[in-house]
Amino acid sequence: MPAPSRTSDGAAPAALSARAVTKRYGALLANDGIDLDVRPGEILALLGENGAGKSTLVKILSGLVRPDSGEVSVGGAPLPAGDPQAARAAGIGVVHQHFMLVPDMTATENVALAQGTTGRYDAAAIRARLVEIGERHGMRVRPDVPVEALPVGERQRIEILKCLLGDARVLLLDEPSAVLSPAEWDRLAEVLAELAAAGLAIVLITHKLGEIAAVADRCTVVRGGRVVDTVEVGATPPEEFARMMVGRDVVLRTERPVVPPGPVVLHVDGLTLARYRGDRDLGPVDLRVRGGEVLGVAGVEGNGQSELADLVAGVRTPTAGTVTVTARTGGGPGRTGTIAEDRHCDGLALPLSVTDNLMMRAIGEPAFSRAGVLRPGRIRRHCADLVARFDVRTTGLDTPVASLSGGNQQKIVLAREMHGEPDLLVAAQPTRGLDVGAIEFVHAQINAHKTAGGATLLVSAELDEIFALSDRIAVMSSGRVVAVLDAADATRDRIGELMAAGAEGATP
Amino acid sequence: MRRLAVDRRALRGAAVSLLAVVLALAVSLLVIALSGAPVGDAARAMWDGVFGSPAQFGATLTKFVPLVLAAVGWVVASRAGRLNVGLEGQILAGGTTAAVVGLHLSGLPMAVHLPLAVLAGAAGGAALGGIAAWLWARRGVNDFIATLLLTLIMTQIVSWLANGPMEEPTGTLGQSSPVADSARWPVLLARTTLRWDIVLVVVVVLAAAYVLRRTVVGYRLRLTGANPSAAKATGTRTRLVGVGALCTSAAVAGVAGSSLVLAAPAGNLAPGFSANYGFDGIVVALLARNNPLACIPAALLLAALRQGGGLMEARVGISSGLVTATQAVVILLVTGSAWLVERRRSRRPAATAAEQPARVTEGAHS
Ligand SMILES: Nc1ncnc2c1ncn2[C@@H]1O[C@H](COP(=O)(O)OP(=O)(O)OP(=O)(O)O)[C@@H](O)[C@H]1O
Ligand SMILES: [Mg+2]
Repeated sequence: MPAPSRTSDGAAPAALSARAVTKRYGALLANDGIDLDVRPGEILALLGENGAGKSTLVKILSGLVRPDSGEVSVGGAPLPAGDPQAARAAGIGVVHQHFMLVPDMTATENVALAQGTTGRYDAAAIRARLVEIGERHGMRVRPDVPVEALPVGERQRIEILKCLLGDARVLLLDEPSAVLSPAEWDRLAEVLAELAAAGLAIVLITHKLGEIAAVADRCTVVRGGRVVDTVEVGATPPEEFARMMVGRDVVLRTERPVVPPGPVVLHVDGLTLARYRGDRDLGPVDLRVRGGEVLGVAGVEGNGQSELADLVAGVRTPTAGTVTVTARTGGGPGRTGTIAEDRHCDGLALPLSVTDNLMMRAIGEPAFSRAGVLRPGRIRRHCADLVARFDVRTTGLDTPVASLSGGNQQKIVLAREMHGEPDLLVAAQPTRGLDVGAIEFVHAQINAHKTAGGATLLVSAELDEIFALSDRIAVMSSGRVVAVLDAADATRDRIGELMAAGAEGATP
Repeated sequence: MRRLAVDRRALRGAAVSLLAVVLALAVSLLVIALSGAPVGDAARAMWDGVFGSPAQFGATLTKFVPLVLAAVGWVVASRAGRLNVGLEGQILAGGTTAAVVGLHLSGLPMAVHLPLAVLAGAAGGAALGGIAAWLWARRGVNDFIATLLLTLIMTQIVSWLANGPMEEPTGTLGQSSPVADSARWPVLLARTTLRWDIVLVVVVVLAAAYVLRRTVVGYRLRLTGANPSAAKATGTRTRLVGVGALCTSAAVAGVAGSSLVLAAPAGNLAPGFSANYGFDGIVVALLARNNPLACIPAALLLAALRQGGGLMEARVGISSGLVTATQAVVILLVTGSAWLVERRRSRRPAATAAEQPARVTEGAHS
């Protein structure tokens, strides 16, 4: 028996600790001797670049992945490696980066499933507890609606409740805020603070430094699978975090270039989509976006921004109205690149290789095939170039995209869609799940696209991002564009007011 | 576009499959022993059935040909995410059209007549598959159900044709006359049933592997199968791909059907000539894990089981039910062991699989 784990300063025994955890994937060391401690009642942030090994660590801590070496212990008692049941029984609850809910089952059924009930179970009792615990922590969920019909924020609450109903004493959250609107994050932050006060140990993975400052007590920074340092949050300025994580200074604010507007590239006329989410209608929407211009679309989640992006990108068919894209030179049809909001559904083929995923759009170009036969040499060179330019961290071009880290999957989509200078870029949550270094890079790419005369429709839940990139800002509420403001006239308050006016919240 | 690491995995997979086959045969003998039959005789009969004589071996290879073709048919459709369970019907359709061309065209040299008959078989299969594809694409009918129902209909049509319009002149045998000699595959091994149609296997398997890996069409097909929404969003016409895959799959099955007529000893159209090859082809494809090249060893295994089992039944008097059960044991063990090994070897694939949302790849019209 090893001695009960104590944190370095010896304050309180750790609720959960990892010692020298190492995990190798082929030639890649995803985790390289990671040490980590969380005390009861503490919120520990885990910060690191895309591909630094955070999700891998979470999977090891929760028994989903067996480490090559190293040990995980809960309250001093070692856990058997690679045994999710044992981890759950020891009180480790996880909310994964990509949710693990069965889509056509209700919240109640999903919770019952997670409790490992076999055969008959008391649905009424589970439902009652779900509602009760949800009420107690201010996390309302609808227990009888199939999960697939619920908004992401609510699905996440189900994931958290699933852990709490399983009597979790340690809660691991892998990028919970990536799918949340700012308001939903504020609610979650309150909940986390409450849970910590009640004695839970919480590990929070996030790329947003503001969130760390808001809720975390300490922060462990990882880079390239190793722990760089663990610091007290209160005593560390944000730039310092960014530097530790990326290993260089990061410009947190980019300068927005002003480009003389070109001809109109995107024409949206009378665009309507009936009943996009059950009972709400979208539109009619009329918009114009010129070359060299970024139009940001702001709104509370669920007010039609995502659907607008889908319609403009052509992945959904409108009930009425038209979307026309003309070339930036002023005549002829234009090309569209799309960064889909739900990358797993519309952006990637997870079982296929990095190469295959990078070629989805370009495959039809004459450079990559001759008489219908692929030219593997050229394709590989093209993909290797994209991988290098967009800094995709992967073990190789033949690696299935499913095994890439979340942020690196997003970079694949970006690299593919920005290739070949599209006339219009539809960017829905383009930096969701990216680290600050990668965000800086993507913003620079969007600005470069704009400087080169391309038009951009940007949908983002991050008001900061909208302000940083947009020349004009359209505010959506209840499926309509209620105002289009010049960036110069737009203030946070003004936009907030417009969003709220007649807005229907994400959760009814 | 693949590299070493993948090849090593494939090799390990092959080794495991081989081991499972040996194990499965042992288990089968045990089952036979438990049933009270003489094990030694049964094993010898099985061996003789496959390798005992050139005739037996030729017969095994004869069964192998339609099995591989049907399996490749399945692979082509399922890589695109379509389930063509109606290979059996498409075999019947292809055999029928091949027989029509073989019977009613005459005076042609073999170099023209035989290829024509084979192509007619492909066209016949594709036509039946095309109906299913149309129902799927335009009417939203599930491809699984459409192809299956068409098979039931096709079975009736063939039996009616063989007993009516296409029956031989005496009208008593319930089958057609043999097709013209110029439309029949020449014998490859004297005194065996093996004919030159086995070259079709090489051509079709290589073509399928090449197209899937190396061409734009094959790429779009794999992409559509892997995630239709993403494929569609990035400019692949997924519906067209689905229709194309179903038709091609059915055309390959049609070629298998043409072989079952043009390379059969009787060389004519008889009811039920498809002899379940369409369904066994699916099993072969599953054993081969949808890899066209792997269909060859998988089909050899199944052909040997069919052929050896036949002799075991005849010589040792083991009931046909038991023979079928034996074959099922082999198939279960081979597919099951590969799956088990993959799960046990590391939890990595399991973890990534779990990471995906459960129903990414199911299109609205699947
Ligand atoms: N199953 C796997 N097979 C091969 N490589 C893997 C696998 N899972 C993860 N990796 C690799 O391990 C590295 C760490 O991945 P991980 O998902 O832990 O990163 P992360 O820190 O969570 O990044 P992100 O912020 O982008 O989510 C990545 O380079 C990834 O490609
Ligand atoms: Mg991650």
